[in-house]
Amino acid sequence: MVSKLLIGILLTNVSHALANKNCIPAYEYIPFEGESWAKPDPQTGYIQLGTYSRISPDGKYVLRSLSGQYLTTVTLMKLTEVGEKNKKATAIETDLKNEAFAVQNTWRFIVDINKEHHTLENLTTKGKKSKPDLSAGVNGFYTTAAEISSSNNTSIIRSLSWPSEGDASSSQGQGALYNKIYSVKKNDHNSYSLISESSNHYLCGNLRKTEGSIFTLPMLSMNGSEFSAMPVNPKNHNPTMRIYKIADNNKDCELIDDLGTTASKLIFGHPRPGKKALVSYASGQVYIYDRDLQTHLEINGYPMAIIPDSFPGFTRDGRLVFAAHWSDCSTGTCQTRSGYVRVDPYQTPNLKALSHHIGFETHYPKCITYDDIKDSENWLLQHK
Amino acid sequence: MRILKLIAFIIILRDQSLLWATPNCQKQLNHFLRSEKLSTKIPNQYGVKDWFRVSESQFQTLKFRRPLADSQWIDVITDQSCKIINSNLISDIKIEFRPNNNNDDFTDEQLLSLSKKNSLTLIYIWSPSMIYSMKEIAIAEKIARTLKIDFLPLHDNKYEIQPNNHRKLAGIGLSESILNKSKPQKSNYLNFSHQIHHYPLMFIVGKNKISKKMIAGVLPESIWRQELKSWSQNY
Repeated sequence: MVSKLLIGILLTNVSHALANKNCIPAYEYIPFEGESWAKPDPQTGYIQLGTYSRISPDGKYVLRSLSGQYLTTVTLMKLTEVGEKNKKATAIETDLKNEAFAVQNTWRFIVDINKEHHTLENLTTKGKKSKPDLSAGVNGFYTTAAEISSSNNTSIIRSLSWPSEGDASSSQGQGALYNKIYSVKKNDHNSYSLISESSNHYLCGNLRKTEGSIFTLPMLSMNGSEFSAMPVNPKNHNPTMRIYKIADNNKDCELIDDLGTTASKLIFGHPRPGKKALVSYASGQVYIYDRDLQTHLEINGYPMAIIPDSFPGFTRDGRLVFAAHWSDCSTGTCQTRSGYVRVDPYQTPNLKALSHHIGFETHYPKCITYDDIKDSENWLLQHK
Repeated sequence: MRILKLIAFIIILRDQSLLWATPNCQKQLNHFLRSEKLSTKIPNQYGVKDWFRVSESQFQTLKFRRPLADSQWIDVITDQSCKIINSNLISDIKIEFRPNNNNDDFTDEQLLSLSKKNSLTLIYIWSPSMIYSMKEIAIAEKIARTLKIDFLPLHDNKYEIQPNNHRKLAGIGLSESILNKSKPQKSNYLNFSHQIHHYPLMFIVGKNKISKKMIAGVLPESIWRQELKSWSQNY
């Protein structure tokens, strides 16, 4: 008993000693170097950076589609930890096709375009030999999916896309976005099986008069309650990027935010207590849009000038990760490098200036800490 | 307690002063920018009087932009209280110049010339960084042919398409004829009006108009066909 108590005290002290409330580096550059695939693609003459990059909640992986000649089409890029000196990306090749996508929020599954769900763990440990656990959801292209909730080993997921060409079941005509809700159960030995799946729910029919019936560049929020998209034929003739809330009936939509500008695909951040989730997009540079303040904020202050080359993505703790080219002049002569850039947006000049302007620096945290990252990783372990 | 309430009140006031980008502020600004008084003072080369909102690089500004002539534009910038920073818009206009273009570039002059034609042209902008924009270009060209409208491919000007890459690119879906036709997109007007953030981007020009309707990204072929047919018939 006494020895258990002593061990308990010791562990508590160790964990306190390990607590790290230091800020992570504001900017990190992770170059593609020294690997056989880290060279220009002979087909295009350019380094393929992962046009459809998706960022895992802990920031350890980038799901990269259409990866170029030297890698399988869909590759998981494993990034070195925050603060590590020798930064590099390691490629884990998979047998997934085309534009495979992650179930956002937990990244419990990576989904092939034929709806087959692989666990992230299977893909990272077995690579091309990974076998799917189940098949569910929608199977159009540009599909986006998110885990709505999870409890008692059961998770509820929403996936959203357009009907595939030739889908005779389409009663709304081609073009309307649709979604499906399904639930999965975790079995013994960490495998999953499908419990139930809804029929197709066509979206936003109630907004046809103002938004039209066709939307481009759809992307679900982290918990699947909202989605971003650009209406092609809005009544005001101004196709801007907008955010819609999906009603409980999984059909109706409500226009929640309008960015006032066009944007590339708009990516949601993870929920923030008492505030709307931040969203991010690339438009020459990477921007954050603060929905509470209706403000566009350019991510700036880079120590090395960058050209972003993918959609950005958020980690659960708030870091932004994106593929980019940059000019590295650290050796005296400037060289163009390619890879991933990892940024703590709260430490960038524009967000700091906004925080300062509001006063008391309450709107955004001062920075992301190593503990925040640890919290993200622990949360993820609990949702595997 | 009174002091705390006063501090809270001041904080609320300060927060409200930040909300310069509210729909109300944007509406006021839009009204001003489109006012007759202002319009008569600004050259109107394109036959379009629109101002385009641009993503700001600083949080305290709200920026609207309008192309003036081939290498010039006006930026109108407001401060955080929704006031236009320049008290005299015309004398303080910000004019910027872009780098010299090559003969092969697609510039504002060429856009203007296309827009004045009596026939319609479908412009399709693609990028080597967006593989779908290359894979699907043949479909867009086919739809244009079916609709009997001209087809003009333009590409992301960050990239130079070398002739020795043509054969390789053909494997992705870019035929030799498309590659020979494709020009680097260097029209300022398109950068402002259509804010090219994503590839492919398609829209129609002609009959003295540059359509603001556009399709960004890939959609099922049937939707492209349906939309472009509708746009060209109701142009």
